[in-house]
Amino acid sequence: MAPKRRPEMSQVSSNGHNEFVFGEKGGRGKNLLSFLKNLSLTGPLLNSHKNDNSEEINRNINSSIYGEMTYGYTSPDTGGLILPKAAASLKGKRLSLLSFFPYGLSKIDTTDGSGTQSNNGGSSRLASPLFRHATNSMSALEASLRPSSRKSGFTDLDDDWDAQIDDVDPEVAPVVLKPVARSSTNDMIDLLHPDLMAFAPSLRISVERKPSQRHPSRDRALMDSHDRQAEQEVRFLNQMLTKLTKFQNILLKNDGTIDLHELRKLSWNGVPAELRASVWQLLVGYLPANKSRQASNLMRKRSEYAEGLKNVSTQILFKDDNVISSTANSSAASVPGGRDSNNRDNSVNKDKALYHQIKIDVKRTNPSMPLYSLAATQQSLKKILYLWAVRHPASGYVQGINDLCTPFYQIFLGNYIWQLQRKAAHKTGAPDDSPLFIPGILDDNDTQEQLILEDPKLMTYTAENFDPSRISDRVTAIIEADTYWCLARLLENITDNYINEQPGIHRQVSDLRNLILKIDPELLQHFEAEGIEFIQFLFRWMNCLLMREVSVGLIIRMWDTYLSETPLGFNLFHVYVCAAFLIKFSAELKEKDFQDILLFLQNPPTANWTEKDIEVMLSEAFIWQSLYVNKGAHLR
Amino acid sequence: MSARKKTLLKVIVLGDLGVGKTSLMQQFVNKKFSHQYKATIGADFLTKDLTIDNKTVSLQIWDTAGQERFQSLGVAFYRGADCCVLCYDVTNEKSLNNLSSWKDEFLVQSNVSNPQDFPFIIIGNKIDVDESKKIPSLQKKLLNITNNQLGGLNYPLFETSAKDSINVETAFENVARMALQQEELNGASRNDMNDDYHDAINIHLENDNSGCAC
Repeated sequence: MAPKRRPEMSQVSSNGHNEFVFGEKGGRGKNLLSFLKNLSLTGPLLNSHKNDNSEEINRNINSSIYGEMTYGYTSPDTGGLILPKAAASLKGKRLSLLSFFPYGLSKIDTTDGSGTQSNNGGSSRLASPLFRHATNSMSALEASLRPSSRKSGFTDLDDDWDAQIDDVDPEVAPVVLKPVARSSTNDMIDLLHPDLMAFAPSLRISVERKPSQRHPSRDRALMDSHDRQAEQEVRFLNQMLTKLTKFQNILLKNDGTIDLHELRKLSWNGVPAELRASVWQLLVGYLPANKSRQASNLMRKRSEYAEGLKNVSTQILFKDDNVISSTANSSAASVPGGRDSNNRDNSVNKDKALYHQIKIDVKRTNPSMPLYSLAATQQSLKKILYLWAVRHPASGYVQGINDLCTPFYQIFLGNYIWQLQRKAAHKTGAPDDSPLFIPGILDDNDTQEQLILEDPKLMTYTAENFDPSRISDRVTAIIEADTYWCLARLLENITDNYINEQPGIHRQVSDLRNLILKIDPELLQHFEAEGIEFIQFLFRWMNCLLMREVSVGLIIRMWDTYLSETPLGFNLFHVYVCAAFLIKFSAELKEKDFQDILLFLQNPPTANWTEKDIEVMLSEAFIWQSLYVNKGAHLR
Repeated sequence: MSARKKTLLKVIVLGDLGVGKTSLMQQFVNKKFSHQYKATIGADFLTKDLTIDNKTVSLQIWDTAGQERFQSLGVAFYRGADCCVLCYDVTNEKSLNNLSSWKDEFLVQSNVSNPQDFPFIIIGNKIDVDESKKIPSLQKKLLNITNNQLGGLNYPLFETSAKDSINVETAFENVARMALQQEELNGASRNDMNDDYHDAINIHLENDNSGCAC
């Protein structure tokens, strides 16, 4: 490599904000938001559909996304990358920015001939909810970048991108400049897509399906707050409903096999809460994509789990809080020959120690969430972790695996509650959602299930306010089995992290250090000057996959993306996410000394983070992965 | 003395998992106790300023994870330590028996210059629990371990309760003193005052009823 070659993408960082400037010669590129805005001006006119039927509209939206022509996107399966240079030579450098949104923006309809690259279209129209999703992330990114861009200190900052924004749509620019990310996003969408409000009437019905709550701070000063709230709600519901429809289309497609490739593309940008359990099981490879095999496969796996548990619980009685080795004394006595009985005693002692360790850790798993202080939950976690540890002796139980277990458990418990809710709703006339259910969970003969179905408060339950001890043993075993197998699949990807000496973690730490050397050498220099070793703070980030640094709710969103990566993102992609996470705080860290750096990184300020922050981080990670993956020389 | 820079002292806290290392540190540094601590992964970093004999010192404490699997990490955390705290749980005999292996592990990985007289201190935590739950004939077993496994060096011993805040402060004042002596011995900030290293606080188990004999 020529020593003076300039990077194709420069990443400029100042005061905790990161900025990407794309271009062939290191920085003479386009601003991302302006690109996205341009793109948003190119969709077909949605208000030509004077139809209140939301399905019809959704179909139109879909058709507008999945046009015949695609560009700017290649599947990560093929290892293909669109690097700025290559893309620029094809379609103008602006298109290279598509790599920011691997799936959401992958296909853009050009059949209407309006010209996808037109950047002076006066009528801005929404291309798709996913596009909006992308735009949301972008403008959050934009909002966070904006203040830093006002400061001097970059030598290679693209000098024309401010002009570019104003150029595109003078209405938009001032809104984007506002400091509150959420409001600027909304305002921009308001301005860009006024016709969305036409969806309002058909959307009311979806209120009960609202999959997650998002109430970020809003800037109400600009508008009548009441109207604004209503509009935002409608917009949010519309977004969710459209997304849900797309997932349903994939999951219910009638040809017997679910298209995992399509599912990954969609899921990368987040999975609707209702469908998360089944989508995760599909993505992780536990639930077969071939629908005719689903029920039998799950049944087999679930009974395998039950068998396994039966075998280990001859040594450990999970019901009792104390370790009781039920067979230890009797069997040891019955075996002739002292050596043999010694061996047996040793192995019983090892099992005891293992169980003791798991018991201690389960008690202190997610202590701030009520669900995890319930006896039934702890019981389930103990069984899952113990069986996994016994079945994987090369690593055994390692602290932190208890954390990794919880998202699956929580999602699958929530899914059972959701299935019950849909079943109850169906009885009173709601559409039948059973084709979306994971097979084998509901059973009319389950008396405890009937009791929960009759509970007047059923509709208010979530995984966070429901006591799993009310669930029948049959379903408890199913939730445990599903959690067990999904956890096992996840851990298969990071076996090296937990075996002796934990080489996987040490490799990840050294990869990340090399990555920082490329992306933010000043930060690395500062760390070295202060005597910080990466392992000192990174060990936990790797060992617990950032679960100690970010709230469980946001981790679940992150896993939507991790599970959509191939191979699963818990190993390689996670390094890039950690890099994005670290660099987010770069400017602050550069001001701190040894003590303060460690104290800061041990407790990074993520308490107020929303999904948007996570999505920006994932997008940054995606870019870096695109730039550096398969380029061993960069990372080694 | 005013112009002098604060002395930094590096302290490592070791011991089996669940003996209460994190609780001890939170009690010492933040004066609080909670049942809600998650398992420590790798090591947590804490700092606390103390005044020892009119001298302000800043303790930089590494509260390490108890699981054996993490022991290969030691090198990254132990290097340059000035004092090592070995913890056990007065209700868990195994944690007591493991003290010497924690000590050995530390000496191997920290590569200290004076392994023979490097300052260790032993803390038995959870004395707030019911007497019946405690290790039977604890003092005898401790004595046995000190003589046979820890080289008879009579390291200072404290029995504490992180929950009820018993003896925690006293124990860590001693940690700071010992660390300061070690640091001065290492010559990092040597002054011309001949320190009283040879009068190091040696608390003999035989005289030790309450667990603290200072």
